[in-house]
Amino acid sequence: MTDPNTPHRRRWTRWAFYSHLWLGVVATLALASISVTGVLLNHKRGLGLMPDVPHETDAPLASSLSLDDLALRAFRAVPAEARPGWNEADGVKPGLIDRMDVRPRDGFVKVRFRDRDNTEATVDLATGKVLHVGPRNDVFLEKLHSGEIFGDGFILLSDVAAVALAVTLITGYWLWLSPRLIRGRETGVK
Amino acid sequence: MTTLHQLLLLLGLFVVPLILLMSGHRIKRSSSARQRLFWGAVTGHIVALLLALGASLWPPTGWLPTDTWRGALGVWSLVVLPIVGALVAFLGTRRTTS
Repeated sequence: MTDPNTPHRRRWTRWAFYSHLWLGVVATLALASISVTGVLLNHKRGLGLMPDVPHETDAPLASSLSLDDLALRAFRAVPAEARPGWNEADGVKPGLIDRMDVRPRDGFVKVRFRDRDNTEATVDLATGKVLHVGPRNDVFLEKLHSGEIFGDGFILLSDVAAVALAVTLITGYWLWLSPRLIRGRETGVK
Repeated sequence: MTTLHQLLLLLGLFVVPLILLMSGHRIKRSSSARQRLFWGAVTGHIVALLLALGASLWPPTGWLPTDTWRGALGVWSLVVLPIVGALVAFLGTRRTTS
């Protein structure tokens, strides 16, 4: 039988130990941040980070107002901080809008602005009535989760943390398994 | 977030723990003063990690260059607190030994 404690195995175990140690320490904050934001995002509705607007409609989609009209109503409804430098006479400024999320089944459109709070106005597609106005905190958390909040290229930070976590898991498993394998073989030899 | 803040964040997130890890090698065999420096810096960095995590999450809105406390806790603390921790521990050692 071959010696289970070969130099090759010893080298690999040593590498696993140091990778586990170094990556574990270096990736701590990134992983802690990703974990916390991940849990918060999983419960974003329950924690009130994302508004839940209950709305039922019988109006056909064909009766919807134009996107321009809906956006204008959202502009009027949101606080001035969400649309800096906007006047009624300007009409809709697409540069101030992040996105318009149309929900035909619910009969509304969510108009999200590009401000600090990610303010969102929920507007009825058929009547144009503003159903809700408020910040979307989950958008910030999503950006923090991905690292996007810190600037361009910082998305690689979450990639690095994910790779570090995978390597740490594999090396940790090996460090737990390796002594047991050696002990098992030694018992088998006896 | 400014370029300086981005640089500080990377420094505090990756470089400071690397330096701490390297200086922690065979720490038990080093002098008492060096051990104190090391543990002071580690304590400072752990406190900074908690502060930075809290500052990055609350309030859950975008960072502005005018957010002074957020910049201080979320970015600067990761670099400054390990140094402060090491200094406090070092001065404590000097006072004890003298």
